[in-house]
Amino acid sequence: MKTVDDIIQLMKNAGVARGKCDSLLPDQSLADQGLDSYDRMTLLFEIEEMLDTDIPTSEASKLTTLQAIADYVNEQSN
Amino acid sequence: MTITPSSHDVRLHAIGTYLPSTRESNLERGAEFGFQSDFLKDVLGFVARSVKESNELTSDLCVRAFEDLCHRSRLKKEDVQLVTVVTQNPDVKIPHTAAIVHNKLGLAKPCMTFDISQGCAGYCHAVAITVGVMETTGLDHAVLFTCDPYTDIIDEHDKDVALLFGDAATASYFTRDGSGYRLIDANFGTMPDSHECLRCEDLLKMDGRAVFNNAAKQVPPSIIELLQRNQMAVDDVDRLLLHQASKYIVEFIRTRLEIPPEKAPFAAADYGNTVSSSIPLLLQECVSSCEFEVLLLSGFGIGFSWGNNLLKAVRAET
Repeated sequence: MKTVDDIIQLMKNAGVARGKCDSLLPDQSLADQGLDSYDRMTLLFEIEEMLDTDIPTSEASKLTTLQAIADYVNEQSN
Repeated sequence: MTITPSSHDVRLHAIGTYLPSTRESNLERGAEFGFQSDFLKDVLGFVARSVKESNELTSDLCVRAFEDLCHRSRLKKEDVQLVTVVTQNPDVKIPHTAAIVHNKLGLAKPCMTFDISQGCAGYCHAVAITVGVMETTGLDHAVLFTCDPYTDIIDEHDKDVALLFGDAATASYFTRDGSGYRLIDANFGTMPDSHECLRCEDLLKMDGRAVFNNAAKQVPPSIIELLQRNQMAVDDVDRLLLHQASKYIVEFIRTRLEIPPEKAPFAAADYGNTVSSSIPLLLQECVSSCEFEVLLLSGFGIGFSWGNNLLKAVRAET
């Protein structure tokens, strides 16, 4: 079971959104909280590596918040 | 690794370059798209882009690169036996741009000419092809051009591509004498079902996530594979010259390979992603000084395809 904190730790380890991770809100859009397109691509890439799968574009477009990402990871892990 | 090249092995001896002097500032254009200047400087990495004159064609830029090459080497026009142009933006559909360049330069009749349709991995493909043709046919003098002026195929309102690409041309001289770099080995790949990630009918369209994912997943292991089959490690490479797709992608691949920044530079901040010209623009200084023993070139992009060249210094006998 992955939590939002686990996703934030993954981001820190990957150098995503440096300096912003600790202030991110789980249900607010990551774009609105200052993550740029490369932060987003890297985060999705790290999730793909963790799950050893490809996230289709149609699914990726829905993963706009930390909570949505944590939920997706848990769904895929079940 | 000890390699003792024959004095007659084909080597990359000199590189001429041409960057149009006109620059378009990304800092001004970026604000229109809502990009912060920090993002443009530190992530995208391109502060400005080189822009050709509207009436300049691919062949014109190649001629300017050749002029620079002639200042940097003793190449004589009458000696050139092979001209190839890496481009996906030819002057016209027919004839091939290499024939137009051949004519504009007034080169001799016994000279093979052909274009190579490749993108950001084009230089690495073309180095292998040029060396292969020279070794097979015994040619002594070849000039490999790169030129993909994207200015004409960019939608200036498309924020995915509008701030990325710059115009440039390069001319690489391969011969069998003098100092330079010899191609030791090369590897290539094309990712199945990824050919749409960069596409152009009238204007360029890019799926940025697909490009990033393929670069991140395919390029580092392909570099390791090339080194391992030559009994080498990353530490044996003096300079890794990566295609300058963006500062972020260069940094990402460099970090994955655990290479220090000075060994894998990003140097395109002032002129942008110049497609197949990005690697020879970086390589010019290395070839001129010949100070590094082992170079690894890595190009990746359109296709999605990639190519790596492993080069070793050959120093002129004194």
